[in-house]
Amino acid sequence: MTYLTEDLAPHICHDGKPDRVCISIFGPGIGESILVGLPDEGWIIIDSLKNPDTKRPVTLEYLELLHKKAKDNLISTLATHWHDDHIRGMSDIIRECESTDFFMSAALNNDEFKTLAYLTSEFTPSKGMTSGVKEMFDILAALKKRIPKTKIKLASNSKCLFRSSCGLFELTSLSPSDASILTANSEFSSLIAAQKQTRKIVPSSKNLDSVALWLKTKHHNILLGADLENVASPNTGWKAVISDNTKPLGKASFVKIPHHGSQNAHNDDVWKHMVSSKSHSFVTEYSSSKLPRERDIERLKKHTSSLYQTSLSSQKKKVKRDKNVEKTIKQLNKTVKSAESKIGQILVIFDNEGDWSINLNEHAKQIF
Amino acid sequence: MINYQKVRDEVACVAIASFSPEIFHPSWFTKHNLISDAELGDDECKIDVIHQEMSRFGNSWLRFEALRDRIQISTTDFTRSDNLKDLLSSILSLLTESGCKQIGFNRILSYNLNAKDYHAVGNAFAPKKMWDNAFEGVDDDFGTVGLKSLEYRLNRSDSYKGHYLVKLFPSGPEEKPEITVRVNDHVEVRSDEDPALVIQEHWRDFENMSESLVNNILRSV
Amino acid sequence: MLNDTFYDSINDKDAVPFDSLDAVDSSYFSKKLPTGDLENINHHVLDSTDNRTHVKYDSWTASSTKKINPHDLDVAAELIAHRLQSNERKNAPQWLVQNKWVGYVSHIDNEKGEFTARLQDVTQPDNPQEVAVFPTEDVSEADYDIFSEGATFTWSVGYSIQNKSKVRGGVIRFSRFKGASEKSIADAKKLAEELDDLFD
Repeated sequence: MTYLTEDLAPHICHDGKPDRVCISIFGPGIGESILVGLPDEGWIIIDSLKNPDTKRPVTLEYLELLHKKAKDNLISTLATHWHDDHIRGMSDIIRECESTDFFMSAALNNDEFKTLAYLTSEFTPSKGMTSGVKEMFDILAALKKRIPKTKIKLASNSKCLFRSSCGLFELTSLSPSDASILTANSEFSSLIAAQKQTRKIVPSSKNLDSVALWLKTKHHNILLGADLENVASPNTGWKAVISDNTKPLGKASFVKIPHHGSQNAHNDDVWKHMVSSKSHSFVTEYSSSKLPRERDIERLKKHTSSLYQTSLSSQKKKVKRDKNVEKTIKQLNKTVKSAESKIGQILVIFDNEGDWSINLNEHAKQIF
Repeated sequence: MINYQKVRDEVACVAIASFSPEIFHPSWFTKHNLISDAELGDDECKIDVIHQEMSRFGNSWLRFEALRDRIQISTTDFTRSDNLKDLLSSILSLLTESGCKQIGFNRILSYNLNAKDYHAVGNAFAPKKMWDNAFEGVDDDFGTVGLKSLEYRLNRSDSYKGHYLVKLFPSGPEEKPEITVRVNDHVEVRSDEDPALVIQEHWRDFENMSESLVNNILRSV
Repeated sequence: MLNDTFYDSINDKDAVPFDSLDAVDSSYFSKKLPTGDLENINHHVLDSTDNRTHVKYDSWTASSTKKINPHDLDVAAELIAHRLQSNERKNAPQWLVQNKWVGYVSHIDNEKGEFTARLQDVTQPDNPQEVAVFPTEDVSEADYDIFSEGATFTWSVGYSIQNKSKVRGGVIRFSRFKGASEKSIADAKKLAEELDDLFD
């Protein structure tokens, strides 16, 4: 994987701090991670994934490539939700960057989730195959070791998470709603009960506790949709965001498409009321579920003027096995395929006049 | 290099600790959901003995034996290897007072070879020529020499305390010669280690190590 | 299978101690060993699922002693074990596994009768994670009770060998690693309370 640095680093980083607003979106086929740079302020990491070659969080690797002091200017780390494809390696970030704040969904601040984290912390069916709950446990354990203690900050609907001293930048969480926070308790209780029969990987749940974000800059708003879904209940998911009158005003000109472009994360009202008709969108692949599908892309064409994808299923990481073994596998199950693609990076840079450029590494592609 | 084909692959695991063998009736296992009812039902399960001193039973894939100082579980079905791992570690998790201090992970691999390669293996590890000298002065019609078994002890290079024992011996009938290699991966459980976790964490390394060890040995002939 | 009364007798702390066993009635079946010569011993042991069978200890050894010498038990057990193993090993199923994965069920589609799984190749651990769809009929009946999202399993492919015939195939085995006990849940809850000071 080639990070976008050589030509662009001088444009986005000076002495370890961002020179201008820049947003990097990384995606390898499983998982995503976003790095936001705010000039004169520092960096914010949203979600995490590991480089499979180096086993390190890609955002940390990228910061190290930008400048040796970049990591020292990490303001906050935020886990939009607990699913393992969104937070893998985040505990490494917490350990390496001792002064960074940590944000997580308010829906996880309950005894049930913390109990589940402890309960499943030792269960690993295979190295590298863990539940996101285990990563959350590692994050909490790392935070507990810090001296002085860092308090965890909770994200929920219409909560300002960060405001720059100059007032030009503001990061606000749009979710989870109060109703989602309440629902989460009973969900985690049943996940604990499920561990009584035999130990299991904690299965991914509906993404109602996911933290969608609104980034306001001087010239643009950016909607980062995380994995928030659209469900029947008006009090949860995107419907709750739409009906929330206290959320930030304005329309987004850039959108990180929620939940890998899936139909169940789509809400027409979000596109109508919260996103500009000439927006530019970014999506990360989720190859296990073949997202985004062709029909998702066709649907998105009606709502956004351009779409960029971090990686494509055609760029799968190759599996190396004996020919005879591959022959046996093909005979038994033709659906087996690599879930990991090469890591793509989309880098959006905004200049002080509001102009912007979208840059892609060799694996990311413009879809339309 | 010799040609060899795997014909048998067995796994066994032994935990040395204090047990009351009489508790290990198949119903104890189904009660704790360690083995399904269907696999320990009347048609499936054969109980040899359930006794204070010894218990033994088996089904289509599992042999279970408990004595006062050990439990041994084994299978000839390598696809059940992880089931053995889960079973033994679950037993030790349930019986924390057993005080398990030693675990033996065992793999028994048998290979079919042609006669030439079969003798080449024996000759590589214990050259027959050396034995010719041993019988110097004795009647030339004394007889041929053949390797009966060879056993090595190897030190561990990982973080566990213990050793490996590797035994190589001929098996199978004369018309279909075989070589069997038995790898014993012996771990001494430290006082601060949870034996159930040791089994869970070490199992994969044991599987991969035993297979590659044997391949390395045979490829070197 | 043996009934609850029988099972209770195994746990009976007042059971007759080993070294003074005489012929006893069927309620002490668990502590009995079959009578007769070795062939008959095998026969009785193999039939031991019949809970009405009861035999006497006193003719277990050639010396016909009423007290059972632990050494004799060991010897007899070894002989039985050897005979059982040599008989049973011939017929036990064998697999020559070419490749193995550990996986977990990420999604079950009951309508289509299939499930999606995330897989990690443990034979070649450097391979990337893979994803596959399996028909639910690949799940053994013995595993139905534990088949659910999040359930972990191994998938092995290779050759199964039984009675000298070799067939290429694959098999899924679900994990039954002991579930969380009430105590471990209570312990986890207690530890979780210690995290409260991380939050305002």
